[in-house]
Amino acid sequence: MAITVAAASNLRAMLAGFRAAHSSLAVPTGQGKALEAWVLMRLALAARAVGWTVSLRQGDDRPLPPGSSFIFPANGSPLKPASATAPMFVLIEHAQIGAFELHGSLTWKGRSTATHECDVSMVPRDVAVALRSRRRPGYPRGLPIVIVECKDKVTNATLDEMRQMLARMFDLALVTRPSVGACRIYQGAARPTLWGRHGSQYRALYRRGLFVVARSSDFQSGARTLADHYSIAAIDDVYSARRIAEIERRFQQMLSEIRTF
Amino acid sequence: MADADDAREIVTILQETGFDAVAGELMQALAARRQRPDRALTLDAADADEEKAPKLIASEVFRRPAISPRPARQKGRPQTELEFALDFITTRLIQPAQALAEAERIVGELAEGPPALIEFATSSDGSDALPRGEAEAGEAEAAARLADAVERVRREQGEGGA
Repeated sequence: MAITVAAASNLRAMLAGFRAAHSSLAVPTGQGKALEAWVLMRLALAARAVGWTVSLRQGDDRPLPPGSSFIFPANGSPLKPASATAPMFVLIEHAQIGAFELHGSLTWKGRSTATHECDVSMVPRDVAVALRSRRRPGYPRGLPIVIVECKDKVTNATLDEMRQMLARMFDLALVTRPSVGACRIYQGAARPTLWGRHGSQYRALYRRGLFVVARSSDFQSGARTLADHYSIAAIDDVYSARRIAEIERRFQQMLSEIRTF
Repeated sequence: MADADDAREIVTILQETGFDAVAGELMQALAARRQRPDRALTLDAADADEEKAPKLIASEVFRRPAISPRPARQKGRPQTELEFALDFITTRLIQPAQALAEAERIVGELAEGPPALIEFATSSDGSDALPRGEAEAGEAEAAARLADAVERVRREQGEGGA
């Protein structure tokens, strides 16, 4: 049965209204950024639910005033010197455990010196503060505690997409002890700030953290096989309540174990 | 052929309403789908069984349903191109809009104030941003109306095929 004239007209009118209301979603990258922002904020809420203190921070590290816009970078960005125009982030703190920052589109530097943009990542507070205190933008180095790659695509993920995630994690992981000293994460500087335990085995290191590919559609079976072996969570249909709750649960579980990292 | 015509009509409607990039993405997806007809049976629908949601260690998940699920597929019946196109609108437009609105409500809650806009800076100094639209922070009524319009097309198709 063809679409009725009335239904088509209604759809047209609602799409026009939708475009007026949500212009960002008309551009090719808009829906991807919306997914990143949502996942990051849901993780922030999940941290608060298990006793962490959560605050939104401006680029100069001051608390975001109520009612003020929260600004994400639309493209990958290193950690910039503290300023009002630097990207904002979420600070999570726990008196007995430590402090960390959740960032959108933060770029990390790998062992090859190639840079890797992570849609949502978590960096130790000390490392981030050290980078913001510098005069030029800088990159955290090492394997992030959290990486969530957000794929707001309608088509199913190919095996190559999971290979990309794994290649990112491979280059970032400091399985060879860095020159600054044994650690998991540091910022390159004359007096680097180090965090975490060094790990010499990839799979063991990947088990200490949360690594997720979150998609609005599904994965091909080969992608899941690769993901499972390397402790990457392949989350399909991420907008469903059950699936986002799965990410939140894993994040909370990781926070309970982070002292061992 | 009728099914392909219906899907093409959706593409045309997207173009007419200013969603040229989205229309292009849908055309590419439909073309790729035609090359792999077996995929029509393997595309997963939303899992509507929310009762089996894993228990959180502690939960503050917003209790109000924020995001429209895609409808569950009938097992064994290939998804039509029109159904695929309607799911595409849901996944590409409706769900991200609702997600962004929920994220803005969370910003408000965490900052102990009203919902606040989330913006995406395209320049290094934050002076330029992705276009925002007229929706108030935390509000997704236009997405809800679009979801109703999509559901109307789905419903009429189902009634016509009965």
